Amino acid sequence: MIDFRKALLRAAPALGRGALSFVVALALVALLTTWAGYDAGVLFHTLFAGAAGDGYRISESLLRSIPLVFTGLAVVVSFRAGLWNIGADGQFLAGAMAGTFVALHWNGMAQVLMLPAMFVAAWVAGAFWGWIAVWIRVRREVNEVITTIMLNLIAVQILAWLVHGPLQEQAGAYPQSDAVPAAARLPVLFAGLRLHAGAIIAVVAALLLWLLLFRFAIGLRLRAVGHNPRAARFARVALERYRILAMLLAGALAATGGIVEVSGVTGRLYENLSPGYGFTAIAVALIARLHPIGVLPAAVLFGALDTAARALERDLGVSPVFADIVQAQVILIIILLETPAIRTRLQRALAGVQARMPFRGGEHA
Amino acid sequence: MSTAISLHKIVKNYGPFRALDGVSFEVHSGELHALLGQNGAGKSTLMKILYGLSVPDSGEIRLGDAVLRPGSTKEAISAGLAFVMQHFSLIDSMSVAENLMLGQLKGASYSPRKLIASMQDFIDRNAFELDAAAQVGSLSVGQKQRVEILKALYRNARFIIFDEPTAVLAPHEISVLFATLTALREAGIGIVFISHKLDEVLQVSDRITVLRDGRTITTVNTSEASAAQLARLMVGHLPAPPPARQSADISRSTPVQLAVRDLRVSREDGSPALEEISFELHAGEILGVAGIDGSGQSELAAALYGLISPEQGEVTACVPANRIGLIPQDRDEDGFVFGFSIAENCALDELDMTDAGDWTVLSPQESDRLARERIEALDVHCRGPQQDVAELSGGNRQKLLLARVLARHPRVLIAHNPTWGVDVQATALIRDKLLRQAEAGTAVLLISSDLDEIYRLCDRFFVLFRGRITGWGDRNTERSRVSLWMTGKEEGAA
Repeated sequence: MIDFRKALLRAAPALGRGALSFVVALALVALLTTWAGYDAGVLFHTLFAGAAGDGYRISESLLRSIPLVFTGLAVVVSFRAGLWNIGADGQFLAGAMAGTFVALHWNGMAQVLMLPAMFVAAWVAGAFWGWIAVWIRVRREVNEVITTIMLNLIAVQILAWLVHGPLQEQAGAYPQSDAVPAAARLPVLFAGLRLHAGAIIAVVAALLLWLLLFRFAIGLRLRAVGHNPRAARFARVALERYRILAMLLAGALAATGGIVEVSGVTGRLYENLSPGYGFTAIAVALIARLHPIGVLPAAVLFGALDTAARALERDLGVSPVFADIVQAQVILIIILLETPAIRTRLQRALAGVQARMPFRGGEHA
Repeated sequence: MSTAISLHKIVKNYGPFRALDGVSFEVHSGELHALLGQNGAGKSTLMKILYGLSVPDSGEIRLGDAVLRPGSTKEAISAGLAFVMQHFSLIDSMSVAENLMLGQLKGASYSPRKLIASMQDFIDRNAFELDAAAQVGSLSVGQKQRVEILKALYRNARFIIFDEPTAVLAPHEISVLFATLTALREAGIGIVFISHKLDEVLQVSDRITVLRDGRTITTVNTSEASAAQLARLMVGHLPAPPPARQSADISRSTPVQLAVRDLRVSREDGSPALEEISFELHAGEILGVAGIDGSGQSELAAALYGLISPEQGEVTACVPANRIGLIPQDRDEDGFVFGFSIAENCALDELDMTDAGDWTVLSPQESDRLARERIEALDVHCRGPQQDVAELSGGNRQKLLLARVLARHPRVLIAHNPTWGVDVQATALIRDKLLRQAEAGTAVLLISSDLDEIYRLCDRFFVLFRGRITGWGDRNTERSRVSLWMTGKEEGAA
């Protein structure tokens, strides 16, 4: 059995540090906003009320975090295998496109078949999008950073072509697809709120990935390949096999995010389906210290920031640019404080102060 | 009166573990002060504190009478300190001259030709034999070490700390190093020589400080010290001498476990690493592979373990792959996943040993139990199975690695420099285990650049030079002949 108390105790330092960095980030935001002529108090109130003021706001914040959980998990699994997958965005779109295509093409299917078919299509497409990059890496030693970025661009262009061409709505008015049939929609969790069953899928996905990485041989080998490929090789782990597996899995995870977004929120494809989820996902994954369970709170934090930024814009009339700045600033500061080099320096500085204290009045005073 | 750099009553804790307990140490300019102790005694920790890489919990560091800020490498360097570590901090793709200049460059650009000329001049002035234009990656370990020393001199270091400098060197390189150390001392440089090898310490040092379990046991003048006395101080009690190996003939009658025929392996750049290697490894024998480091030993170990496929010839194993055990030379890079716990490292092995599939469930309790078994089998000092292997001392890592390999119940055991950088007790333990393995019928291949070790343990051996076998010998072979083989003078088999 999993001992939750123990697990919580072990996670306590990380949680504490996370909370501290968040507070520091908010303090700096307060400075900037005061300097820019806003009332920091009102601003913070709007921020918090906007993100978590009532059930609706909480639902919206969680809604925004769902795609970040999936793309964040995709980044976690690939980074754990030592692959710098910058392509979660493209994999997300690949999943959204494939799943939507299935829903629109076989729009008569029963709901029991429809959703599974859409998910399978998304997984295949996302895994394929991930596989291209890792295959080029394994075969030609081309750095996956470059290929995944390029594949993002390609996915965006394919999406644009689809919604302007073959998949454009019958009415032909906007560059978007028709709405998927009702059978293709994920149910909402609470009447009147937009939060949908994708949230449950996201939590399950995080738990499954944690099990896979930390409770199965495949996960140990995958992590060994990422941590020290030389030692993994000496333990007769087939490096390429686990690199490929990691990217297939990453692609499928990000793709799940894509189809969940269409099926749960938008109901259709359009060009800006992803406002860069795959990139924010990297920050999410890093703040989570590449831990699947940590991705959940990290994604919620980012989701809440996003809803809060919209509230600033709507309720205070703050320019959307400024709202973006606030959001980016919080992210930057958290990442900065969580950077290993800075963390050790902080710890060292603290230890240094402690080290000198007892000798202040000592023999050489 | 010469100046001295000194540590006073240093205390350092790692969690509940007290690594240093009020240790004091000093080194004068023009003195070679050896810091003797077993692995885990706290030698490296103490020197890291001196160099500012680690912050002590209490105590102070002084240069003469001035107190240095703890935990500041910058201040240590400006006090004239340099640290030659076991793992060199050199950039392989750059020339010797560029490595020397690195961090010292004034202005935004330099002319490579002028730089090489001036650095060559600097090297010659210090009577080092090195080509300033050579790429560091192409140098031998001993030469790289000399580049590190030159780097220290170029920064006008007045005190140089050497962390186990002989651990990585071939015998003839050790004598070159000792000559260098003597010259440095005469030039007024203070030297700290970290070691656990008694004979070396007695040979080169002026004074010896013995460290045991994080405490200073004593500081003596080398001229008044004896090996037996030092060993007792260092270990607490004398390790038993390894049992003498009986006959050399068991090998002929026992079955062949590993056969190598006309093996040829190339390096990545296409140059030959091994050529025309043929031998048979019998059950119950210890076959030695002697030779200067870098003569193809790593490639041999990798080829026998099945990590690289031969370009020509063949390796035939008469035992299943998971019953072949390997202690790789670079235990930190090849033997461990740093950042993983002891339990995770053991589990990785166990999965290989049992040919476990990807969907094998890892139970934390089971991993912990396995790890505990390994820890207890060879008395590895650690906080428990969940400790990160990176935190273990070198000797303890090597013991853990051996325990993991022995847990395979290997029928072929390949050990590549298994006692490098390992203290007296651990060395005795490792050698004892190898002998016992052979007695129990395991075929042991001992690749070692320590000729004493070869003579002490092996029934027979061959010598590698530039990837070729230059001679075969056994315990009765004259060492002078062997050293000729080690430098490439080929001769008929013994």
